[in-house]
Order: sequence, then structure tokens, then C-alpha cells
Amino acid sequence: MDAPVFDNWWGHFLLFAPICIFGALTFLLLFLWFDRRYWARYQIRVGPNRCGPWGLLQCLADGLKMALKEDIIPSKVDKFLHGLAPLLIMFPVLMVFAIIPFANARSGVVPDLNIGLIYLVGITSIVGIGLLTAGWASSNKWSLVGAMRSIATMVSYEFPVVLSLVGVGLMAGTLSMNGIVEAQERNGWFILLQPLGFLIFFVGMMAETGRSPFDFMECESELGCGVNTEYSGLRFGIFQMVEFMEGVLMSFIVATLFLGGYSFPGSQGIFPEGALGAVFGLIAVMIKMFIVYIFLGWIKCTMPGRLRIDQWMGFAWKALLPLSVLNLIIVAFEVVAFGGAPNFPAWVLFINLPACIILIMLWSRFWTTGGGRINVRAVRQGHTQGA
Amino acid sequence: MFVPFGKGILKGLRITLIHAFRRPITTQYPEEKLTTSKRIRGVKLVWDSQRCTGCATCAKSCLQGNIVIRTSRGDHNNYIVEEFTLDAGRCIFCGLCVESCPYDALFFGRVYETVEYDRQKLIYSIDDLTRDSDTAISAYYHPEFADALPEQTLLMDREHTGIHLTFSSPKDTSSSGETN
Repeated sequence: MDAPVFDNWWGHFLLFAPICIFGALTFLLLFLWFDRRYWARYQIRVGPNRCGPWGLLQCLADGLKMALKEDIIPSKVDKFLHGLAPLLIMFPVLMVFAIIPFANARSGVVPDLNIGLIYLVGITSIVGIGLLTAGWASSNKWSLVGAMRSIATMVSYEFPVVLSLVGVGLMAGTLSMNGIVEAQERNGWFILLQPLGFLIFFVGMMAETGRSPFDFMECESELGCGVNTEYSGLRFGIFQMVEFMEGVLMSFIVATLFLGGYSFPGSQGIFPEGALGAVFGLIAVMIKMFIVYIFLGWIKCTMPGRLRIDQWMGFAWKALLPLSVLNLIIVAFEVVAFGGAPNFPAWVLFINLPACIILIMLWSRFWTTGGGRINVRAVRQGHTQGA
Repeated sequence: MFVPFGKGILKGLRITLIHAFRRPITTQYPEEKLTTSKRIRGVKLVWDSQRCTGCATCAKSCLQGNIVIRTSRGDHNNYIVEEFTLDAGRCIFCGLCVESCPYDALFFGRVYETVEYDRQKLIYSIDDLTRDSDTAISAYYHPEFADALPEQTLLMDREHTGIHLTFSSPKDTSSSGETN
């Protein structure tokens, strides 16, 4: 267990952290290119293909453009907070990359934080504070409304997300991300063992990161891009980058918590130990992240519009929250009944998958929202009291 | 009993997936060019020096007054056209000059790429407009040219055939680059 170089904090701080941050940023630039080419295919377009080979340098060119544009700071804004907000949004997202196990912690290359899930929940909440700061400091109605919407999203969707994370922690018997991946290596992927928790977490994270059907915080047509309204130049670029980074980060977290992270079932004996195993693990988690991200983009292209605000809140409080509580109860019961974490049986899949389907079908009755919905059939038949 | 749950989302996902595997219909413009309509109203007019009698009906019919035509008396009691100038920068492409020509001496060309930095360069003189043997002529108001012209490419054709498309008459593209 004695890791070679990285076993002390200074080694981590001086070597691993810069590699991680710059690697993540470079990777993000390249991945943004993939992202744009990929989305273009849904619109029967080609995507950026002019700058550099296959348009690979397009994102670099866009970043340069953002950096060179004039940074307009309106005269009425709170200048300190206005400048602070992009950093408050950017750094938490970068910090969460620290706990993603890109490889097994036993290889000594990546750290292992024993309270990874709490860190994840706590750090991602800072993004909400940054958004509120940006909206408040902009002294703009649209910005403030966008910020309040993002806070409302955080408050509403944090409960289902955290409750489904508690289910994951219960099933794995640990809060460490590395431990969760090891538990999935032993017992099977959590997407199969608790599909309901996966769905709740996926939708909740999509809402928190402001992906397309839930992009209330910056609806272009209603709010004029929300908190982005008074930002320009590099700071606007930071907002855009963070929005994209949150999508990538969400894909990484989903891949880690529910899709087995750096491992495949039974890959413990196949992947070599040490740094070579770390490379294999990195490749595995990247592939899974790609798959999750492709699914995210697919959803974004399918639902480019957004829900009404009462539908959106009703979905969180009436559908996701009760379902996540039920999911937690089911998982907790199973953990008590079938023994603790190390020997959790994989056949609970056959309980949890039907339970997921039945619960979703039962709960679909409550997903309708009051007030705005008209019973069309009743109106047609003349029973106007159904309206 | 059950409210439809997620059925619409699944249908939408299927539709977007089908679209994702379609061929992109984007035309990579400077490299690929679609063949224009047979009846395109091109920027340059084509003027037939043999048929023109210098009657100046085209100049009178022009709403904008873009066409300047100046004639002198010839030996056989005819007009000799000394100046035929078109200000294509002010042209609205109504086609009245082509339609009004009693001797079928004026046609639309098929050139559409005539971007210049200087508006003076859009004023075409008689040498720019005179019909050569290989000048492409639009079939606008003159359907007799239509058979010789290539079919217009539609984006729909491009998607289904997947042919790498180029502009059909290279003469037009080469002449459009010159600044005159």
C-alpha cells in the first residue's frame, strides 16, 4: 500500500494538482470540439470543421476571441462581487474533479477521500452561491430572476440527488468514491442494483447543472441568458466553460457512482496493479463518461425547449422527492436484510428493477400539474366540470 | 389509470436518433457549389451585339435607370451601340429589361458571385456584358436555353445521392473572380 511518489500531500499539491487541472482544461477544450460536432449531427449539420485539422482548433479560437473581447462592466454593478462570481462558479467545478477516481487509489496515482460523497454535495452547492452572487451583483432584473431560478433548482433538486446518493453510500458501505467503485467491482453496477436511484440522480443532476430541458437559469428567450446578461468577454467565457464543464463533470460522476467507474465487473484480476493499471482505469472511466455524455447530448437535442416553472417544481417535489425517499427505504431495508456492504447480493436487481418500473408507473399519476391542465376529453363531451 | 409517462420522450429520442444518422445537408460553400436554378436572375446581364439594334427599350423599361445606352448613326441608317453600361450594384433583378427586349438581345447571365470591395467595380461596361460563344445564359424568359442547362441541385438530392457536387459551369466561376 506504500505509494511511490504521491504518498505525501506536497507531492499531490505540486505534481498531481497541476497535472489534473491543466489536463482537465485541455481535455475540456478538445472535448468541446467533439461536443459541437456531435450536436451538429442531430441537426443534420457538419459542425465546426474549418480551424485546424477537422476543426480541432475551433474551441481554442473561440476562447481567444472571448479573451480578446472588451470586458464591459456596467457602471451600476457591484464591481467586487461582479468580478468574484465567475471564480466562485469556476473553482468548485474544478475542485470536484479532485475526487473523481480516474484510477484505483491503490495504484498510488490518484487520491482517495474517505468522505467523497459529502465533499461532492458540499462543493457543488457553492456553484449556487456563485450564481446568486452573479445575479445579485449584476443589478439587472433578468440576472436576478435567473439566479433565483438557479437557487430554486438547487434547493428543490438537491434533496432527491442527495437521497439517491445516500442510497449509493448505503449499498457500498462507504462514502469514498474509490470504495464505491470497488463495491461495484464486487457486487455489480449500481445502475442495475438501484435503477430508480440512478434515474433520480440523473434527472436531478441534469436539473442542477442546467442541462437543456431544465435550463431555467439562462433561458435565452425569457430571461436574456439569465445571470450571463451583464457579463462579457472572458468572464462570459468562464460562464460558458463552467456550464460545459458541469456537463462533463456530471458524466464523470454518473460513470463513477453508477457505471462502475474505472473498473469493469471482475476486472480486478485483469487490470494490472500500479501505474499501468491506472492508465487502464483512466481509459475505462473515459469510455463510460463518453457514453453518458452522448446520452446527455441526445436528451438535449430531443428536448430543446424547457418545462413550465410549475411543472418543473412539481416534478421535483411531487415526483422525484417521494420516489427518492422510497428508493432509500427500499435500499436500506435490503442492506439490513441481506447483510452489509461486502457481500451485498447481486440478485436484488430482480427486486429493484420491477420496483423501479412499478413505482414510476404509480407515481406518474402525480406528475401532472394542477391549474394549467385541461381535461380535453371531458370538455369535448360537455362535462365542463372536468376542466 | 396510468398517465402516459415518458412515452413522448422516448418517441422524441427515437426521432432525434434517426436524424443523427442522416447525411449532413450542409454545402461546404467555397469547395462545393450547388447548381443554380435554370431560370436564375444572375448579376451580370448578357448582351448580344449581333441582335441589338440600339433601340434602348431596355434602358427605358429599367425602373432604376441602371442601363445607360449610347448610340451613333451607322452607314446603313442603323444605330451603332457605343456604350452599354449596367450598374449591377443598383439592379433589383426585376427582369423587365430582358422581357422587354423586342429583338431577344438581352439575357440574364448565370453568375451570382460578384462581391467587390468597391461599388464602382459593379458597373459593367459593354465589354463585360457582350455575349461570347461560351457565356452561360440563364433560361429566364428564354425557355429555349433550358434544355442545354444542367438540372438544379436540391439539398434533398444531395442527401439521397451523396454526390460530391460542384458548380456545373466552371467558366462562370472563373469569370466571377475577375475585377474588370
